[in-house]
Amino acid sequence: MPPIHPLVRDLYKRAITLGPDYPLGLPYVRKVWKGALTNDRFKGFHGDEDPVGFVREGGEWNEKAIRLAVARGRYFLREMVGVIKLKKYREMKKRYGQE
Amino acid sequence: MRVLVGVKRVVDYAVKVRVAADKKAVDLSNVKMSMNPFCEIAVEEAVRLKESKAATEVVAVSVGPKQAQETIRTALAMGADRGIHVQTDLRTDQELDSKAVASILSKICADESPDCVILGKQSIDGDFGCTGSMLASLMSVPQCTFAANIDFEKKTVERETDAGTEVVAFPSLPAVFTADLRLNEPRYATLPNIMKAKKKKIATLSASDLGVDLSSGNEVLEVFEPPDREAGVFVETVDELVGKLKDEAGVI
Repeated sequence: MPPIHPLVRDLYKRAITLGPDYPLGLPYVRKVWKGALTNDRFKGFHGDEDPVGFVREGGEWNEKAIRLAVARGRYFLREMVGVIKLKKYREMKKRYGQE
Repeated sequence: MRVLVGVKRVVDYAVKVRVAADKKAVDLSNVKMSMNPFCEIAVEEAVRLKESKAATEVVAVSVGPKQAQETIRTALAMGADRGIHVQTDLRTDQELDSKAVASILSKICADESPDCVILGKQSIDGDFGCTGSMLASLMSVPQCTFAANIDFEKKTVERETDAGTEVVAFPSLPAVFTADLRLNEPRYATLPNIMKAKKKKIATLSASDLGVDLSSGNEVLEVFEPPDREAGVFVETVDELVGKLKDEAGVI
């Protein structure tokens, strides 16, 4: 089991914590986030650089790239929270809002 | 100012519930449960009061089985300071009715003496909508229900009614408020907050030890699903439509 950067592990745990509340469900969230966070899928912050990877390949972690990528991941978590809140608000408004 | 918030563990809003085989209750096995959305709004209001330094402590109370502690943990993750869990194995959507819950809460309030109690206006499983009013009556304090905006300085509350919004004033605290949908937008408890909330304390009491009457004033005769919507009828001409509206539907 190759080592995984602590920030990336924390990011994944945050994603699966809000997975059950996400409209598409926890299995979908887990599949998409695991796929996005595995080593060979990640190609650097701007998408066109050489693969930097989250998992240490014998050398050192690319700390700067990982921090930038985790920040981007946290932005997507906030987007997911937005979807959850919006769906809930709309449903509550539909059920209890009309007077 | 100490704020007491009631939270209820209910079936998650997104779940399509089924009626149990005996037609006396809703089937709750393996169903996702979460905090009542109106209770989330109540917790958010209390936490905002704490953040604006108007309140010093927020206490979250829940009545229910052992799993109700998860609901209290969510309230703690949203910003409450401590929790009180009143343990009971009665079904909180049917067997334990509003009067029993209000009696339990009034006993808790007698011990805690909060300056302000905020509840949700109704729960999405029982939809009784009377726990807040009953609690205010048992505590002999003012009540402001369906609050869409609470102003503690001017001591006024904007209430949402069927006819529109009315502004009422409450003479003094302590008082009971029930939260309407428009009060605020509750925050989502993320993992870092959930981790921080693990250090906060939850006190456990037993409902039968409080010395309140837990028997229900209602008896559930039957639970059934609403009838399926029937298909519409196609009409050929406008005259036929007007004729149908006049004769069959009686709306013209």
